[in-house]
Amino acid sequence: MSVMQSQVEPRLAEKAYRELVEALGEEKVTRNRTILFSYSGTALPIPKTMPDIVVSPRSVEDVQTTLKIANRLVVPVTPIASGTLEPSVIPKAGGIVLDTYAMNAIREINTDAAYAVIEPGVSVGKLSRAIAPYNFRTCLGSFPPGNSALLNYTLRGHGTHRSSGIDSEILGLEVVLPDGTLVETGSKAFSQKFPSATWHSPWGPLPDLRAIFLNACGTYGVVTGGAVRIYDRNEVQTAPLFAFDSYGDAVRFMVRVSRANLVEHVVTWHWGLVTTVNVLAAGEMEESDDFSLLFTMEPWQKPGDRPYNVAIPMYTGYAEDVEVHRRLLEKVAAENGGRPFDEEARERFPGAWHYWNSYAVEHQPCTAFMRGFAVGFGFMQILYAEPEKVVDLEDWGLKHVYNGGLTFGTTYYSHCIDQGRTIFLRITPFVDPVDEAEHARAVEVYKSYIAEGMARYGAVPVRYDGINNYVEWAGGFGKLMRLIKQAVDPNNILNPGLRIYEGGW
Amino acid sequence: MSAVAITMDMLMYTCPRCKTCTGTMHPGEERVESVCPAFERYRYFTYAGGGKCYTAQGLLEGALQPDEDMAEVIYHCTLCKACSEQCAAHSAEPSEIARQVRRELVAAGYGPPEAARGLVKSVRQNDNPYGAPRRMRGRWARKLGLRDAGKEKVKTLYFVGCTADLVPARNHFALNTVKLLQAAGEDFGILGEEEFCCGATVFNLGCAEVFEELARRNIERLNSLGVERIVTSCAGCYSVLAHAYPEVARVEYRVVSTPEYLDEMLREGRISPSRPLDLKVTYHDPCHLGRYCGVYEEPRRILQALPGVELVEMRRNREKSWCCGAGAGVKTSYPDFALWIGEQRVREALETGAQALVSACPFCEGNLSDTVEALGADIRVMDLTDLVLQSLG
Repeated sequence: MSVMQSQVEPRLAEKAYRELVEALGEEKVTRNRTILFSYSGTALPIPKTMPDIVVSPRSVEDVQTTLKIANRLVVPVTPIASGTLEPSVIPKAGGIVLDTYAMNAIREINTDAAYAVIEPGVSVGKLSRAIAPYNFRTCLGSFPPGNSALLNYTLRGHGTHRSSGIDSEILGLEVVLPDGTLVETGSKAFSQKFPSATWHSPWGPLPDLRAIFLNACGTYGVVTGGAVRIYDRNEVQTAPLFAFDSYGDAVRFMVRVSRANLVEHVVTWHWGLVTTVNVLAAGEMEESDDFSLLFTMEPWQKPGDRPYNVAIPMYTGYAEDVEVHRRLLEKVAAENGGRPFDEEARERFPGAWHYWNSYAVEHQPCTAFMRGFAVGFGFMQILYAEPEKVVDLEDWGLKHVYNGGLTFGTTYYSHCIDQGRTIFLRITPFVDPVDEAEHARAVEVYKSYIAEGMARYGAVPVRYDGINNYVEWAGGFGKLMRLIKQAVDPNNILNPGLRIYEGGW
Repeated sequence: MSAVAITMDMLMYTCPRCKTCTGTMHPGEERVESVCPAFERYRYFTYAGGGKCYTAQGLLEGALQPDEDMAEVIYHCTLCKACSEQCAAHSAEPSEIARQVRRELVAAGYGPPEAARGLVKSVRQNDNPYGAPRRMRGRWARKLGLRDAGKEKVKTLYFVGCTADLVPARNHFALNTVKLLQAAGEDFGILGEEEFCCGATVFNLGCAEVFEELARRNIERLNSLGVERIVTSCAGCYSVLAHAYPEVARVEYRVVSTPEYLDEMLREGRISPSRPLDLKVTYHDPCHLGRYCGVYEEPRRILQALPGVELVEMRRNREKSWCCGAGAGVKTSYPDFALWIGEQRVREALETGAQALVSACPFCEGNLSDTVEALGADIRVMDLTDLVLQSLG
C-alpha cells in the first residue's frame, strides 16, 4: 500500500523537533521512524502519510506548549486519541501527530448531576468500569472498549438517547486553541471568574460554541478534557428483539416507538449483519457455512430462513413500566408487519443474541465485532435521511455499493435519531485489506454513494471524512466555517489535511 | 523483506487500533487493567500489539527498513503474549509478529541489541547464554549421585536448563526438583555436562538460524535417549521444548513442566505435603508457562494442597497476568525497564498482603528478586518447589 511523504520541509521539521524536545523532554517527543509509520494511517483504504514527529503529551500544559511551537513555526498538527478508523487521524500533511491517549485521568465522577469529567485517553472501557460501582453506565455505543470515550463522543453518530433528541454525549469541552488559549464551554466557561462553575449545562447565556469542536476532527482546537453524560442503571434494562420482512416496516416501527416515547433508543440490523456478528461472536468464521451466505446472496434479497431486518428497541425503567412497554412494542410491531424475535434469536443466533444483550442490556463496550475488521471490515458510509427517503436510499444504496465491483458482501445497520426526524443508515461493504486496486474502487464507490445519496435522497453524511470537500459544498455555511477557522487557526496548522481551510500552512 | 517471510495472515492488516490488546477490556471485566508493559511505559501505540502489526506491514510494503529505530521498539517487548491473549480481532498473534520482525532485524544486522549479543555468542560457543565453560554444567549435582541419562536408560529426563544449572542464585530450582523427583520415586536422570541450552534466548531474540541449529541438535539428542518424558523446571525451556521444537522436527517424548509434574504426583499420592507452613502467598504466572502453554491451574492446585498456605490472587492473574519484565532479552538489554516492569508486579503483590511472591520460573524469580531488593519491599520471592519441599518436611 502506498505511503505518502510529509509535506513539511525537513529543516522545519528538524527545528520543530528540537524545540519540542527541549520544551517537553525526549520521553514525550519522538521521530523514531517505526513509531512515525504506525501513526501514518489506519486500516482504512486511504493512503498513509508519514508524519515527521509524534508527541505524547501528559498534561494540558504539554498540549499548549506543543501548539504554541507548532503555530509559531507553522507546522501541521494532527490531534488523535482513539486512533481507530476515522479518516481524520491520518496526518495527510505530515508534521506533528499529537497523540493525547496518554492523558487518561478521570477527573471527576459527578453522581449528582450525572456526568463524568474525563481526559481524551480515558477509554470507553475504563469509563464504563469506573462508573459502574456508582450504578451508572455510559451511553450505548458499539465502539470497542479501548477507544477514547471523549473523542468518540465528539463524532456524530454516537449516543444513547438519540430517540429523544440527543446526538452527542458531550456536556462541555476543554479545548486548547493553536495559540495556546484554553477554552471551556457551557456552564464551565465561567469558572475563571466564578470558581464554583461546573460542567452541568452545555448551554449558557452565550452561543453554543461547543458545537464547533464536535465533528470537527481537531481542526479548530485540541480537546484536552470534557464532561460527558452518564446514565443511571435503572431497575430493569431490556432490549427485546423484533423481526421484520422489509426495511420500510422496520423504519416505520422505529419512528412510531420513538415518538410514542416507548424506547430510549432503537436500531435496526440488516440480515447480513445479524449473520456476521453471530458468527464473529462465536469465533467460527472460517468454518461457518452461514457466513458464506453473505457472499452468495444479494444483500437486498430476503433470505428465506431468517428475517430481512431485526429491530432492537432499548429501554430501561421500573419493572412494571418495562413490562407495559414490552406489550406496547409488540402491538406496534404487529401494526407494522413485525413479530417478536427474542426466543428465535436466542436459539438460532446465539452469538448475535449475546452481543445485543451485553451491549444493549448490560451496557458493555463490545469487542465481538472487532474480528470483522480483521477480515476486511473496511469502509463504512454513514448517511442521515428522512424516514421515507431512507427506505428508498437503502434499496438504491445496497445495489450501488454491492454492484460497485468490491469483492465482498455488503450489509448495514440503521439508527432512529431524534424521534425519527432523521434516520442513520450505515451501509458497510467489506474491503479486501491488501488489495490496492480494491481500495481505489472502494474510495470511488464511497464518493459516488455519498454524492448520489445527497442528490437523490436529500441525505447528509454525518462525519467529516477528508475525501469529499463538504465545506465547499456547504455554501454560506462553509464560508462561515472558513471564517471561523481563519480566525481561530490563521496558520491552518490543525489537521490541514482535511482541507477545511485552504490558506495558511 | 529478507530471508524470513512474514505471512499475510499474521499481519492483522486491518488492526482497527482499538487498543484492546493493551488491557483487560472485554465485556464482563470489572475494571480495565493494563497488561502491556511496553505500551504502559512508553505510551506510543507502536509499542502495543497492534503497533507491531503496523511495523510488520511497513516492513512488508517496504515503507520501513530494518534499522535502529525498529530495533529500539521491537526489542522493548518482553514477548509476554498478553496482547495476543487480549486481541479482540483474534486474527493474528502480535507476539509472534514481533518475534518475526526480530528475525528481520537480526538478518539485517540490527538485532539483537548490543547488550544481548554476548548471550548469543555464548550460546554458540558454550551452549549456554551465561558465558560459562561447558565443564561448569552440572556442578551443582556432582555430589548427588544422579543417574546420567546419556549413559543409561531412564524413564524421565530432568532437563535442568542453563539458569538453574549455571546461576548459583537459581541452583535451588535444580536441587529442589531433584529432591522432589526422588521423593516421588521417579526413575530419572540428567544430562550433566552434555545438556545444551534449549535455545529459548536466541529464539526470542530473533536469531532464527542459531536456534534452528541448536534445536535440531537437541531434538536428535533427546530423541536418542528413549525417555518417555522430560520434566523441566524452567518456563522458558518448557515453552520452547514443548512448542517450538515440534515446529523444527519430530519429537519422540512428552514435555511437562514442574508444576504439571508435581500436580500429577499430588493427585496420585506419590508425594504428600504434611508440614504446615503458615504462609500467605500470591502466585505470579510466568508468561511462558501460562500464556504460552496454558499452565494456570496446576500451580494453584499445588499451593492450595499445601497445609497452612493461603493463596491470594493478584488483580492481574492467569491470562491477564502482568509480565515479570525479564523475558525476551529485556532484562539484559534494558535493565531499567525490566525493573520498572517488575516494580509494577511487586507492588501488586504487596497489595494482596502476601508474605511470599511465588512463581515457577527462574527468570521471573531473578527479576522479581532484583526488584524486591531495589524497592526494599517486605515480601519474599520463592519458587513453587521451595514451598512443596518445605511442606514435605
